[in-house]
Amino acid sequence: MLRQFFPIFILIFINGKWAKTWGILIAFSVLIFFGIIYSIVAFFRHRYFIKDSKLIVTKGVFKKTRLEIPLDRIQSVNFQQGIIHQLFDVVKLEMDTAGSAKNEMELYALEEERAQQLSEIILSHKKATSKKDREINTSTQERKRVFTLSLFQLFKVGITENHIRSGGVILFFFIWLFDNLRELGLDMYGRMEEYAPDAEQVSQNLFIVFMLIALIVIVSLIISMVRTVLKYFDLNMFRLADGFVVKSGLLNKKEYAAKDRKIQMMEWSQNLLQSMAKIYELTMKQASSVQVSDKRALKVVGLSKPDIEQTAAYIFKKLKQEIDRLVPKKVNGYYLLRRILIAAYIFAPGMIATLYLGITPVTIILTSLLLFIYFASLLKYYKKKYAVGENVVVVEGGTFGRRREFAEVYKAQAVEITTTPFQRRRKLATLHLINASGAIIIPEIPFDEALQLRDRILYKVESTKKSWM
Amino acid sequence: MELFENRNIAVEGLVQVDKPRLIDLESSYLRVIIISRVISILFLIGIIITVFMVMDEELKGVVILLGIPVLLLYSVWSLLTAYKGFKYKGYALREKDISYQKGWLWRSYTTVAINRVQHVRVDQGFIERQFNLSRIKVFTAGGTGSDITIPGLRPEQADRIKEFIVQRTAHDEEE
Repeated sequence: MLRQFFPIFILIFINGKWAKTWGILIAFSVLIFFGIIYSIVAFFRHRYFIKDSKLIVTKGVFKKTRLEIPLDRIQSVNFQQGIIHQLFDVVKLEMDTAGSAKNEMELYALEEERAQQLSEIILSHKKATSKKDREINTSTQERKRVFTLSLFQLFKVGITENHIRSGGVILFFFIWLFDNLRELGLDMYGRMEEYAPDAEQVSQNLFIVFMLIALIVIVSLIISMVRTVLKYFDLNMFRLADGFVVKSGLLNKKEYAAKDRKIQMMEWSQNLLQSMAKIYELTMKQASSVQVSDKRALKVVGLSKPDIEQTAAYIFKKLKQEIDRLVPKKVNGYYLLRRILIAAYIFAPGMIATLYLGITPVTIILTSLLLFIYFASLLKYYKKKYAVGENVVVVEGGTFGRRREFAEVYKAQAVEITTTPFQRRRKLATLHLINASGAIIIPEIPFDEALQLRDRILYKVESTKKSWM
Repeated sequence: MELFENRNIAVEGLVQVDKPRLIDLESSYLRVIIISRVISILFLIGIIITVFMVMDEELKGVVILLGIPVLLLYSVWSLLTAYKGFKYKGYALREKDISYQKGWLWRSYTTVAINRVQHVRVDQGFIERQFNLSRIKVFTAGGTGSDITIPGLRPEQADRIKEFIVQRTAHDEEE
């Protein structure tokens, strides 16, 4: 509701500043006037109520729409609270129904208490209808706080963010700025050429370049810092009887929930900085018919190793012991060889060309780039490991950081074995275990082993009576 | 660890009841593929001709110089992969799962467990109709990566497979 007013405020602002003729001013005023009327009418027309275990929403000014959703179809209820929402102490409710992206529903601006009540009605209804869950229902709907991100930890998370990404944004911004300046007639290239590079200026230019790099680094740091604080301020993870709730955000508060049985994959990761700071990032991916966007994935940052272990114990329960027993194996050396060969083929023409011209700076750059790729490939190869247990699949990876994915075998939807001509020559294959929130990929394993693993996974899937969600 | 390995063998003994037997697609489906590829080649020729007509005189040479090799490469590649790839296309239906293999160079073999199937659909394209062929699509909850499409089936055969899968999934839900 409030969102609708927002553009109007902007209009008023722009209006006062820029409108040059009365005609435009009047046109705008009329537009704003009707906009406000429209918003008010829309506000009173937008109603929701629960009847016969259905959630009914009616809305629309000119075209009336009436949405009916059976309560037991609602998969999850999430809260969001933007800054304007916070001012008025209301929340936005997002409801996710089984099906495609279109079936998502949003209720803007509910009073917080109302929203809580509504979500409780929806969730408790869901439990009451399925007989199996009835016992659990009586036990608890209490939240147990399992993880809180302290301010110090938040700082750590900000520092260890992926700064290259923020740096990229800035670089992009500079290029954009540069282009625009040129369009404005400030020909930077032309100006630069005016300065003939004599010795004194070269050292000066180096200094400027150095300063610029330092500036970019600092700004990147600040950007990732601010982004982290906005996103993860006051991050809390709660444990419910059968799921998790993650709450965070400074200006835009979000609350996401996931049921254990809906979680198809769990993943923790660390980049290089995070592994030095000994903190982990955790992602729990939920089932969805659409590809899992960030929305359906619960992400928690700044966790310690024990926190990860504890969460894994909650999700996998008894299987946790199996996970701990698993000894991941390395993939075939072709995983490394392939990367080395591809890089070699790509670089070969350039290298040969530069060698004809003698050793130039380009040769040095190319060589160091190639060496860097080889080093990264080597790391990637040594870190790529997999283990398929009776009930759980684990895949490890990472180049400078580390990543580990977990999935329960019986939740697989399909198994795929792919081979390239090169793999077939070496009797290798890639195994894909596809589940409702993505895929776990085990590259470069012996073909026979891939067949065996496939049969084992299929056996597990086909012989289970458990529902995958 | 040893205990785990033991159990592993027992499990395999159970599951390898029957190795999936790959069934070839109807041979007339090759013609369907070839025709649709030829249509896309004609489409490309159309695009190149249009570009040629629109371009300035000086640039016409460039269009020919670039267009002809691209056209040749594309035609050879798409017809070659159509022909070679057809040999590797096939499906296998077992009691509890359905598989589809495809690909001449980049080969993939996808298996979907029948108790994970969300719904099944039988389709028929325009060209396929001329050859009296159907395709069956098996959808799971895993998104596009885990859905399989088996083309080149006789319509009655496609319907039989569909019936079989639907019955199986209904059977599973009863239990």
